[in-house]
Amino acid sequence: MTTLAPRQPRVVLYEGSGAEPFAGAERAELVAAFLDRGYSVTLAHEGAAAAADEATFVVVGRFAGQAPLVTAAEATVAVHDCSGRTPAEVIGLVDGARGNRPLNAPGTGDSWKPWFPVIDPVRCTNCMQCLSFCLFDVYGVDADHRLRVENPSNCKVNCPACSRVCPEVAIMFPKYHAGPIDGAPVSQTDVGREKMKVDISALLGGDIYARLKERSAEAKNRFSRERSADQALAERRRCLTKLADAAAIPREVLDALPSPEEILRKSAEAAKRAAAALAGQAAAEAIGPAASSPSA
Amino acid sequence: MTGSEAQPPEPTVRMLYCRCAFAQVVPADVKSAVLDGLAAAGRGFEGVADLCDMAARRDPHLADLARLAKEGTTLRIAACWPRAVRGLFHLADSPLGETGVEILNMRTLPAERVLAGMLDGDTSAVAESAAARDDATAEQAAASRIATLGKLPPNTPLGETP
Ligand code: SF4
Ligand code: SF4
Repeated sequence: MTTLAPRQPRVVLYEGSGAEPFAGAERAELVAAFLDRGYSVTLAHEGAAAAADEATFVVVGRFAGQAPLVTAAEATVAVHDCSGRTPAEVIGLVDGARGNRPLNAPGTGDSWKPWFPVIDPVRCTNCMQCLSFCLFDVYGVDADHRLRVENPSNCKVNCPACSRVCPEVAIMFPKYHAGPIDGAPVSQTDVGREKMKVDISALLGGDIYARLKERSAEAKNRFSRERSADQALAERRRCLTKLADAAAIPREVLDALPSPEEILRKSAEAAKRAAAALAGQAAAEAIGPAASSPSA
Repeated sequence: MTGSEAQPPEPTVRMLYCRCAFAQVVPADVKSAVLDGLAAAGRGFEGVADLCDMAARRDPHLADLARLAKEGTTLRIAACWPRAVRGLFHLADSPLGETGVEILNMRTLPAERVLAGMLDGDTSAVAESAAARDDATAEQAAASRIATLGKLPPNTPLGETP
C-alpha cells in the first residue's frame, strides 16, 4: 500500500507586480517541466502570498534582485529571483528548494501511478457488488452506508476488473484506454456489454474467483507434490491465462493474488461488509420516512 | 445610473490544466499545445501533474476549487472526460456543482477547441467534450463481439474468440 501525502508540492511562478513576466516559450517550458516532475504549478498574476497555499514551498520570478518575503499558511516560502537564469537553472533551483518534501514523480522507480476506481455517483445504485468483489479493501462505505472508494492506493495498477462487476457501468478508471471505463458516456451497447460479462463467466464455467481458487489449489497441490516452486508458478501462470484474457486482468495481478484460503477469507469479509452496508441502507430507508413524517 | 439595466459583473474565471503526467491517455501533442496556448495567453492559471493523483490524496485544494465554483467563479478544467473529472472530485469529497464548471476534454478535442473553451469560454467546446466519440465502427464491432460471445458453447477457449 502506498501512503499518500495530502498534497504534491506546489511551485508558484510569479509574474505580478514587482516582477518581469517570463518570455512566452520559457513560461510554457517551465510549467511543463515542473508538471512532468510531479509538482503542482500556479502561474500567478496577483499577490504571490494569495497564490501560495500550505503546499507551496517556493516562488520563483524575475524580481530584478528584489525578491519579496512570502509567507504561506504554515511556513515561510523560499523566494528565488531567477532573473538572468536559464529554465534548466530555474528547475535546478526548485528541485534544490524542495529538500526532502515527498514528491510522487512520474517515471521514477518508486512512483505510484494513480490508478483506482472512480465512481459515477449519478449511475451508482449502492448495490455493493464491487465492495464484495474487491479483495484489496479499496472500497468502503461512508456514514450513510453509501459506497466510497476508501483506499485508492490499494488498487492494483492497470487492473480494471471491478468495473466488470458493476451492473450499472458506474465504475470508471480514467486512465483506461477505452470507453466507457475511461469515463466516456455510457451507451446502450455498453449496458448490453454487461451481458458479455455474464457470458464470460459462463465460458469460464462459473464464478471467476471460484475458478481462480480451483486453479490455484491445483497449482498448490502440484507444488507440494513436486516441491518445485518454479513449476508451480509456471502452472499457475498457464491456468490463469484464460482468466486474464477474459477479464482484462493483468497477469501480474493474478500472480500476486493471495493464497486460495486467503482469497476465501477476504471474500467472506468483503461480502460481510457489503451485507452490513445494504442492511444499513435498508434500515435508513425504513427510518427515513418515519423520522421525517410530522406524526413521528 | 442611467435608465439602462446594470450589467451583472463578469464572473471570475479560474483555469486548471491537468498534465496527466502518469499516463499517455491524453495525446501528447494536444496536452502540449494546450499548455503552450495557456502560457502564451498571459493569464494566470494552475497546472497539476495529475488530477487523479490529487483526487486519490483528497487534496483539500479540490474542495477550494469546488467551493469557488459554487460561489460564482467559473472553473474551467482542461483534462479528460467530464464524467471522470466529476467522479474524481466526488471521490475527493468535493463534488462539483451542476453549474459554474466547464470541463474540456483533451482526450477527444483538438487543442484549438480546448483553448477556445478555456480562454474564450466557447460553450460549444464544453458540450463537445461530453459527447461520445464519433466512432460508430467501434460500437458496431463491440456489438458483434457481444453477439458472437453469446452464441459460443461453454468452455470455448477464449483465445479463439473473435
Ligand atoms: S457495483 Fe456499481 S452500482 Fe453497485 S455499488 Fe459498485 S459502483 Fe455502485
Ligand atoms: S483527470 Fe484525466 S487527464 Fe487528468 S490525470 Fe486523470 S486521467 Fe489523466
